[in-house]
Amino acid sequence: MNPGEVSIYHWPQMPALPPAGRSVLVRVSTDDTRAVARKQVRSALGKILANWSGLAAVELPLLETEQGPVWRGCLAGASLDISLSYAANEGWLALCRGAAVGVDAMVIGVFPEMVDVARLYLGPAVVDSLTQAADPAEGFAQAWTAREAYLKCLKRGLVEWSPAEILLPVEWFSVTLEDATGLVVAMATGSHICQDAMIML
Amino acid sequence: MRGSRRPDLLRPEILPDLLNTTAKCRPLQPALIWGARTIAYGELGEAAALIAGALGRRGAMTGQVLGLFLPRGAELLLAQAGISGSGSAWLPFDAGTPLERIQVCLASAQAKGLVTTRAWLPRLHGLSVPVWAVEDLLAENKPLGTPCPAQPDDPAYVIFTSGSTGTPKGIVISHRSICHFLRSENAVLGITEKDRVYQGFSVAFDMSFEEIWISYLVGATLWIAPPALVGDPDALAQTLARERITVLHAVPTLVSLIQDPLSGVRLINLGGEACPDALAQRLVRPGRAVFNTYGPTETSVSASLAELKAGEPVTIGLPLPNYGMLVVDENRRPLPAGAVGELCVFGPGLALGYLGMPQLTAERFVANPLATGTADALMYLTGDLARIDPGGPVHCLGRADNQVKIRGFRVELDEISAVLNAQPGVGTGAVVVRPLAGGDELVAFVVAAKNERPSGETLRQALAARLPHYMLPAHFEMVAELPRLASGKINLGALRSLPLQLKAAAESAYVPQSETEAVLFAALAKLFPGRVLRPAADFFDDLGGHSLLVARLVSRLRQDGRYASLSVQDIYRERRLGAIAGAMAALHRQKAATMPARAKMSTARRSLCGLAQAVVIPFFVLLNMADWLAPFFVYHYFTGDPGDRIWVAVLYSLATFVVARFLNFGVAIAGKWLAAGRLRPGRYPLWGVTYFRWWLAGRFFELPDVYLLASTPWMPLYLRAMGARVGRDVMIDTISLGAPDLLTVADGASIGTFVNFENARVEAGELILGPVSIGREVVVESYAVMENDTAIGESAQLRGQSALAAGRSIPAGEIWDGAPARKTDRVAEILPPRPQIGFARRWAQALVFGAAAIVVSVLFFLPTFPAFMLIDWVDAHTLDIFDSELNPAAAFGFFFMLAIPAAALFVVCTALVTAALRWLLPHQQPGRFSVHSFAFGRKKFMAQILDGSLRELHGLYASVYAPTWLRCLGVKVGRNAEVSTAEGMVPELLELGDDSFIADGAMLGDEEQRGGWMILQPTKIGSRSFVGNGAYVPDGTVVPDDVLIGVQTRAPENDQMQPGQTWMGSPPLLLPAREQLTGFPESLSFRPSPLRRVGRGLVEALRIVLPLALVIAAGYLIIILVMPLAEDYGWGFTVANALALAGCVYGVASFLFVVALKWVLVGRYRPRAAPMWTAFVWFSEAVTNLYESLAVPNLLDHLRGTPALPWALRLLGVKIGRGVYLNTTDITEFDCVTIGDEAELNSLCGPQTHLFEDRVMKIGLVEIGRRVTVGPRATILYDTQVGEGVRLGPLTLVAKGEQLPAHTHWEGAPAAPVREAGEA
Repeated sequence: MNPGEVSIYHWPQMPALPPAGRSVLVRVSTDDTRAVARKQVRSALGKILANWSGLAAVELPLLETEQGPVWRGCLAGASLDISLSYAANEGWLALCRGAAVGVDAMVIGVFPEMVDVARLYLGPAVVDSLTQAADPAEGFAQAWTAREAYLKCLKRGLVEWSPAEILLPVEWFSVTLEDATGLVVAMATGSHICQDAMIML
Repeated sequence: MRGSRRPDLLRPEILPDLLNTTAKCRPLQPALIWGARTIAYGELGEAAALIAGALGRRGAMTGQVLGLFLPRGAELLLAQAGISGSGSAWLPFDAGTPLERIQVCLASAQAKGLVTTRAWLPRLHGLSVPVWAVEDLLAENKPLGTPCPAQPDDPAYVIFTSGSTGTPKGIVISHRSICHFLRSENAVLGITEKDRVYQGFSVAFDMSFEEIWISYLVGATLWIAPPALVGDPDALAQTLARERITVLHAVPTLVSLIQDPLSGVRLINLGGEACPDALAQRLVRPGRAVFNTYGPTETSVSASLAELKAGEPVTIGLPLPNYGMLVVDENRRPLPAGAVGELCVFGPGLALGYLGMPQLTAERFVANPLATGTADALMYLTGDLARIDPGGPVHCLGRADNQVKIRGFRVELDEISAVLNAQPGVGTGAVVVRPLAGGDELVAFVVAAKNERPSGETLRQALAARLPHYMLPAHFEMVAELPRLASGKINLGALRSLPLQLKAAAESAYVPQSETEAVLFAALAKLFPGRVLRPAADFFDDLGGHSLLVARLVSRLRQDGRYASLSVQDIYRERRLGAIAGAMAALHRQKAATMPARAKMSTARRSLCGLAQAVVIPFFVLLNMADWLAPFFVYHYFTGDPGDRIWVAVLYSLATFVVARFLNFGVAIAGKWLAAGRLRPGRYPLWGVTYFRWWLAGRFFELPDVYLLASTPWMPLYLRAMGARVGRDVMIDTISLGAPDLLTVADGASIGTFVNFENARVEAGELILGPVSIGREVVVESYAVMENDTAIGESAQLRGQSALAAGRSIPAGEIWDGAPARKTDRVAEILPPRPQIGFARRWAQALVFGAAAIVVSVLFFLPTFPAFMLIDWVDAHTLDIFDSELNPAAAFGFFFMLAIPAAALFVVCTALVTAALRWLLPHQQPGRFSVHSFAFGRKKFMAQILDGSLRELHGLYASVYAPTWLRCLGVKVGRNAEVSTAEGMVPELLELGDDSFIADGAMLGDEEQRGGWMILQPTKIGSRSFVGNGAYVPDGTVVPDDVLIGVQTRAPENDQMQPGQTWMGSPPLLLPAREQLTGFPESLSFRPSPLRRVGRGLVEALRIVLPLALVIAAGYLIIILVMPLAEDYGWGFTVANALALAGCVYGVASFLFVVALKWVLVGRYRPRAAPMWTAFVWFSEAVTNLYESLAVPNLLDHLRGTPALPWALRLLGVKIGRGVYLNTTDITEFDCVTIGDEAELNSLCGPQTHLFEDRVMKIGLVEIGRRVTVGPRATILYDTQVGEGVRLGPLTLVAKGEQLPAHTHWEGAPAAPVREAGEA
């Protein structure tokens, strides 16, 4: 997906219900403690879903699971997938109807084993790009968030990169925020991924 | 919704009936395989009867429950069957269950005893029930007197799950239910007695029934996985293949981590958790059934099943036969299709209820509104949300009740709270799930009892004694009081937002107790500065670890070679620091056990071997010189005197040339057998006697021009004569071969161009010799590498630029690709049957090929004569050196000056003759041709010309003249294209775009050849595209414009490539960006001035003619010096000695000339970047070219594998340590290479210290550490450091900027760490 095709809503700006297969990304300014941040993001999530579904907050078929909140059932004729991420007093909320979505945010920063981590988990193509990048830290953050967003979209945990890995087709969105947060946000949307498969039994 | 009605599956039977029936019908059929032990069904039935008898004598009877607590293994399953045979129900415990929980469950089930193993008796001391060791039960050796007393409705087993009351709840399943389930599910799965079933589940997990008891039902064989294998995806994949497992039951998470295609597994049954759609798509393939099952324990393992199909979403399918499902609302009223509600299951699989919990049983097992009789009167409320489509399938949408899932485990929070509240010192406690350290975790809030101050650590230990690890709170928060609602209930919502006082678990620093702990804690200290680290701390819960921190920790630890195979799964699995350290220590021990012990280096042996090699090398130099010196002699013998006729001299000279060339084949065969004999597989000391024999055999094997036999019937004959076993209709192009005696090629195999059979290589101070076996109708494509002890099964295929490392094999019919080679899903295009020809035509073809080889040989010698004539004419009309007394140096100088224009004449004549030949032949067309056709012969003839030109006109390549030369051969070459020593070209079918760049050793447009057919397709390289060193571009490839195919890379499929892309590796990976070297103007890279073109043209013209001129001048000088000896002593030993001496002097002189030229023209190589159209690059390329065309063939090639080669390379600037083994001369920027002591560089490998990128030559350093072993055809790019003791596998590509940690093993393009066999 092109950057222009994804609108970032800054909460409390209310996003419109997206058409099936399209994602919306909501940025929520949060407290610096993770616990409070999660509550604030969930509050925003509840209000958005209440607005979209016309249900009262207590009636929302939201289920808290190990992977985060899950919308039970359909919304306007399609499933709804939710993905959350937190970084630097920012909560990120990705919502997608009729497809799986994963979002990940990370503060751009330098750490000594960056290339080694990239080699192990992101693959040689990323290592190659990092060694040539003008700003390797930003490059790493972009690649890492993309990887995590992809895995979240597939509801999988972190795994080492493998040349035999089959990358499933997903649509990408990645942005480096041009503000003081130094944040990179990536979102992956997989329209082929069945909603049934995403919920742990 | 109901499953199909199958009354035949509803039988009044018990589990022992199923086992006993199979034991009687198939007593010899293997039932269990546990390590080296195989237990047949008859034996299993007898053992179960013995255990049942012993238990019966101890009072076991129908309706009772007996605990089952043994480690994984055959005894566990014997005990399980034995308990069942006694009429009792078994209550299984996982091996890691705390004693406290065992006690609670046994008490809850009113168990009468527990069956364990002798080794575990001490740890079970204190249990309130009798404990028996299975070994003791078996030792009584007395079966039960009467058949099993159980009835179908008696309990068969009890499984406990987390319960909300604080006590785990036991689910009781009857024999009737479970027996029906086994038959019902297998009616769909279709497992048979021919299957080998993987047994990996704990018996405490009811999916183990699908593995164990369905196998017993049908008589299949169970392969019991050892504990180390469970949860290790890499090892699991290898094991499944090795053990020929056909049926795999597994949770999707485990299978998703397996990269292997699991080609031998015909049935995969997934369950226990949701199956990702992507995983299903990956697993589904023709010939394999993949199922997704759903079912709570309360419905006897599974209630529904879906067969997964490609392109279809994953669901939980339809109810099993005789089962039913419905969706109800909150009032338990059935909902219509498509509505979302709670999923209910009914049918014969329902549990008897919860043990001792009638109220809970009544709550969950309720009246079925769709009941048709007593058989389906009840239904079970699963607590899962679901939707049933009209006509099915069923979609499961997650949990509906208050259970939570922590790391995949279903957990009742109330159970933890109840245990917590029972602890001394706890007044009131409550447990909630709340975010902690980046993830949801269990957090316990505790109000201390009066005058008590329990610590979090004390409570953790107390709970750990009673609860499984996944039910332990990550944090214990001590509070003065718990927030409460108006009703008086604890306000759990408020607890979820209550601020926490997170502290480290202990205040004092911990001193690591082992080296492994020290390494781990040092790495952790960097990630968690200032935190107190203790072995009991949980990486995630106590330290706040998350995925990036796991990645960083693993990355740090893998820098230490001892832990190079540590993975994120190890951290996720172990969690606690002490356990992580334990896993690391285990990895280290296993690594030490698998690392090859290094043979001790003996200086005396090395010196002796070097001495022996020094003695025989002049013989090979003499033979090498004889090739060109003999016809040289003959020509001059028959010229110079009045009356001599030039054409007669030319004829005699040509005849001598051909005889000398082809005599070498005879010399090679005789020499190999006389001097080296037959070599046997094994490991032999480096520099020892067998090593010397192998080295000598290799020199003989490489003596003749084997390329002249490529793809002809003569090649198999030559290989057979050298000791290989080669079948009929075998087609072999150019190959390298370590040990011909150990090569077997079966009928109909096709071996491509420059395939390397490296079945002899040096590693860890030893020469390793092993067989290579190629099956019938196998295809090994070009640029593939096979090491020792490898095999390819019948009709299988190893694709181009792929590597099969030592010990690996390809099963019959499979296609493998990549470095390292892995199975692909490719299917080879079916070709017509192999074309057949008669005996006469076969021999006629062989003769034609022989004649063509002679023509090609002569082609590159014929233009020598105009050069001779020119020199002789000038000499005769000027100094008349032959008849003068001029000293040798002056004579050489004179001839050298004359030889320069003569050499130029030689090059021009060669090009003209070749071009004439090419234009005389019909044009090559694309298509499919028989290997007996004229088109095939023509293609091979042109290939030999190209091969010959690479040897005889080496200097032409990578010069401004190369495009012209290639155009003469029919290649369409665009403007400003740069072409180095490319291989495998089919000239008329190759097009190189404007400004394209083909680097050294690239394989370009190589044809497909198999089954007696050759398939030719046009190949095109787009404008400004780059094909890197050693890259492989098969024919039919169309590389778009501005694409970079990296070093040692296999070109991707056409539909994968887009303009502007960069690809690297085999199989190729798309790189996101390419390095842009800026700061150089186009006038120095792509668009040079005419002056620079002239300058480069002059330098390169000199570099082309100089080697030829040197050869000619040396030839004349040797004639002058040796001719008098021939006249005085005749053509005997003295002349031979003199020629050998002359040859050695010539070889050394050639080498010293290159050394001098290198230091004068280039000086010391240092890391730098230089655009192509600058003098530095021209001179550097000239030195490289002269090194390859003069120094290597005349001297260094003879020194490969001898102690002398490192000395020679030191003169050129390479920094080489002591005791280094070098079987390669592939080094260019000499000063940029450092090789540590006792390093071993095998054949065709080398450091690549420069690359051309966008017409800019970039040079960097390569450091190869002490005792490094570099495998065949491995390439180490610049800016790399290879640590001490590192092993690099075959065809490995170490990418730019890599730093490989010491004592690690890498292979692949690009290089990736190898997890050693046996490493967990």
